[in-house]
Parts: sequence; C-alpha cells; structure tokens
Amino acid sequence: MKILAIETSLAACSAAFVQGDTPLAHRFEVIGRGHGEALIPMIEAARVQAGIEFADLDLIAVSVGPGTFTGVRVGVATARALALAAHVPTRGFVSLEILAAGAVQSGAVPAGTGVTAVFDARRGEVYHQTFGPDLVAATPPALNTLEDAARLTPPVTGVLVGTGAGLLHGHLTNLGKPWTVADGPDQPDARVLAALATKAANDGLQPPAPGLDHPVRPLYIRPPDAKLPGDRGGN
Amino acid sequence: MNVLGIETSCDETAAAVVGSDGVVRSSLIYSQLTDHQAYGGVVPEIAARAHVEHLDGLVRGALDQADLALGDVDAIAATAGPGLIGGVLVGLVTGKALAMAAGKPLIAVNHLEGHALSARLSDHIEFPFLVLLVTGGHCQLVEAVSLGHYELLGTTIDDAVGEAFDKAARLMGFGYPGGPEIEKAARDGDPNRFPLPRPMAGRPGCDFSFSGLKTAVRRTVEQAEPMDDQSIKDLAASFQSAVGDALADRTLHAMEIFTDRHGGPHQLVIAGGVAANGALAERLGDLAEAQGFSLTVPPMELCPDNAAMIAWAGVERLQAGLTDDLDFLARARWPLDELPGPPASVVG
Repeated sequence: MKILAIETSLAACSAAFVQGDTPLAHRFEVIGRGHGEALIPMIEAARVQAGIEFADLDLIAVSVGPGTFTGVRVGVATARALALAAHVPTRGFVSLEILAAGAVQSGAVPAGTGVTAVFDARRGEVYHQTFGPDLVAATPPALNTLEDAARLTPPVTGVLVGTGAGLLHGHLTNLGKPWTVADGPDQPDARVLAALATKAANDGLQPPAPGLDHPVRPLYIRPPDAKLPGDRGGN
Repeated sequence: MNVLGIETSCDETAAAVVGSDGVVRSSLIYSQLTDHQAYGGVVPEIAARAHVEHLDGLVRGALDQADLALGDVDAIAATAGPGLIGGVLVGLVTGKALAMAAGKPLIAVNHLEGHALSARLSDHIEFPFLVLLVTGGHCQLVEAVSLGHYELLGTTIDDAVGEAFDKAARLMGFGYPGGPEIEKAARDGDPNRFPLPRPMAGRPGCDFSFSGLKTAVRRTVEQAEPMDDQSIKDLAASFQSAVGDALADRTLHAMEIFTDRHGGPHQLVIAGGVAANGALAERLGDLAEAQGFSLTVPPMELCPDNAAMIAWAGVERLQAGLTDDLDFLARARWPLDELPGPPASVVG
C-alpha cells in the first residue's frame, strides 16, 4: 500500500512516502511559519526521490489538527487538492495522536505507561489528549485551560510530550498526578503519520472511496475569533 | 488553450475555466454571505474555514461544467494576493497542489490585475486604458499600460468605496452588505435633501477619502433622528450622489494624466463589485462622455470577485510566458505596481 503522509499542524512541516513498512522518501523541517510556501516543493522533492506518481498512491494521510489554523488548512487543502487531481482517497489523523505515536516510536515512553500529547495553544490553554499503553485513546482531543487540562488528565503514571508539556507538568504536579516530561520529539512528523496510516490499513481499516464524498476536514476545536454585534462577553 | 482559475481572497470561493478564445467555459461562485451576515462584515477566520470546505467541490464542478479533465487544462491560475491571507493561502496552495499533481504550470495572479483585465475578457479592449477599481476592499485609479505593467495614479487614504457603503448602510439601519440596499433606497430619494461633503474634491492628485463622508452621514442621522422612511431614502440618495461626485472628481484628474501620457483612443474601465451600482456607473459614464473617453463596464458576473477573471489573467500571463514557482509567496498586501511582468519595452 503506497501512502503519502502530510503533517503541517505546528512549527514543523513534513511529508513522507511509504510503501507498506518501507520508507520511500521523507522530508521534515521545523520552519515555524510559511507552510504554504514550503509544503508543495517538499512533497514534490520527496515524490521524485520515492520514484512514484501521485496516481499510484493508495491513500493520502493528512494531519487534521489541532494546531495552528493556517498550518492545518495548508495540509488539508493540499490533501484535498491532490485527492481531486489524482483520484486518491484521503484519511485524516489527529495531530496529538501522531505526536504521541512518535514519542512511543522514539522510545521516550516506557513500556506499559501512558502518554499525553500537549500543544501550547496560547492564552493559557492547551490542546491535549491522553493515551494508555498501546496508544489507546483515554481522553478525546480537547482544548482546555491548563487548570482544566490538568484536572481532566488521568492520575496515572505517564509521560508528557509536545510544546505544552512543560506548561501542563507544573499543574499536574500540583494535583499530585505523577506525570513526567518526556525527552522526545515535540513536533508531529509525517513519517510517524505514514506508519499510523499503514497500521490502520493492516488492521483492516479500508480506505474511504476516492473523490469528494468523504473529504477530510480540519479539526480546529477552537472556534473562530468573531463577536456578534452587541456581544461583549468573553466566549 | 484553457486555464483553470481559483479565487479565495475575501468571502467568495470561486473556480472557473476560461479559454484563450475568451469563452468562459464555467464560472462557479460560492458566496459566504450568510456565514458572515450576522457579524456585519467579513470575519477572516470564518472565511478561511469556508474556503477549505468548498473549494475542491467548486473546482470539480467548474471542470465538469467545462467538460474538461484537470489534465486537459493548460495551466492553473490562483489568486496569490492581495486579500485576507488565510483565504488566499487556501486557494494558492490548492492551485499549487493541482498544478504539481497534473504537471501543469502555476500562475500566481494578483487579484487586482484580475479585476483590471476583466474588460479585456468581456470587451477585448486594447492596452493602454484607465481603470477605476472599486471593490469592498479597494478603491484605486490605475493606468494599465501593458500586461503586468500598471501605474497606480491614486488610492484611498482611508476606507474603500464598498466599505464606505457598508458603514453608511449600517448607520441608516440597513443590513450587510450595504451597497445594494443603498442603491435600492436611493431610487426613491432626493439626492439634494442632505448636504454631504465631496471628500478630496478639487484637490490635486487622484487619491480618495471616504471616512469624512461616513462621519457626515452619522451626524446627519443623529440630527434627524428619528428618521422616517422617506428621510432614509433621501439620505441614501444624497450619500450615493456624494460618492458619485467624489469618484468623478478623482477620475477626472486621472483622465487628465492619462491623456497627457497617451494618445487616443481613451478608454475608461470600471471594475470591481461597486461597478454593479447602476447610478455610479451612469455618473461616471456621463463624465467619460464629456471627456471623450469610451467607457467599459464588464458584465455583472465579472464585477464582483470571481474566478473567471483570475483564469483570464492566467490566460494572458501564460501567453506571455509568465508562470510561477510552487513556492510562490501568498501576500496580504500586493500593490499592482509591484507585479512581475515582461519588461515594458518588450511589450511596447
């Protein structure tokens, strides 16, 4: 199964081509901003290295967020356009799961412990999701204040990964929850996403039909900043 | 030759296919009006989210309607600015991905050049010509010398015309967008009832200003409150008349500059959504006639933001051998006189 994976939800921008468990080409760069300029040439360079055509792909896997609104849109719009052009199915994956899986792959998560992926969402808030052993989701992806995120994180032994790990750690410690900050990647990576997509296919998850009937959609979680006229309240 | 065009710079999501023969093979627009109406204006983040949701379906629809596959078009043209950057990025990255996957050239189009060239699509007019570009976000007088070569003669120092209409409409109690509502009400109003200023009138140069007019409308409303229906109609007519006079005064200056620089024929094009206002077009038509300029207002479907004008700009640029790289930078600000183009001397 040939897969193109695209990840643009945070400061990193990455793309990977795999065939089954064989990596064909991979690009990963922490760029901060400018995904709209960096991503397409990155995919093209990787595709040439992989030696395949877009029409040969069986699936385009894309990170749908949460993350920066613009970064997430660049990835999703690219996946949808490529799907339209090459008539390839798409599947979305949550950025927090990609990061957690990357931490497990890198050996930063001791066997049998949980992992919580945390992204700094600014304004005192974090995007976060907790997984048990074997990456089984224990909580849904969510946006919360640091206080609420700490309260909602299960009181088990585990490691924190991501740009918000340090922020959440203090609040968990205050609540007596025994989490530690992992010495692992803090950015999700398309190479890990490709492995997740391959595993999902190996586990029997069929790709959706190609075309526009089952489009991938961004997972923003945070609503747009917009106030109705006369609305003076916070949220 | 056929070019697929994509437009996402404000609150219209659009895709179109246009041929080098000047035939618009398809032109689809999803208006996000109802998504923004409650907020009284365009919310950039809501617009960007809607573009992602609708653009690929519109591209598919535009190709289907043109009876073409993506592989059949000769290039992909996408608006790369100026505009709301979140939306511009969605359209541009979609265009880049389509171009990459189909192995076709990308043409990164300046949205304002799209408007400026729309009369060449509809009416086949030749360079050079004078353009009054009036939209929700822009108000400019532009000397179109040749493809990619534009001289900015004047621009607004505060609000765009469309913005002025929206703000005045809100003061008069109309909904968003304000232009059509004011035009409708003005039909039964007395344009001489309320004395409103003609901002910048008589001053040298071609720059516009509309914030003073808005303030005068507010003051008039406050003094006349409560306003009956007829007074609102009279105020709408007075406002529209003041805008018309202000546009005409500035355009007259631009016509003088244009005439100094070029021999005949002298052509004026009104482009942009505000060109759909019949009363303003008529006012400028009178001015054009008096000054010996022929007036071209593109058909209604080419006035508001649309992708046919972007595809057409793509046709013209492709014919001139102007294509862009896949790392082309999306821009929120991109003045017309900072465009890549063929050297002016080559085009002559």
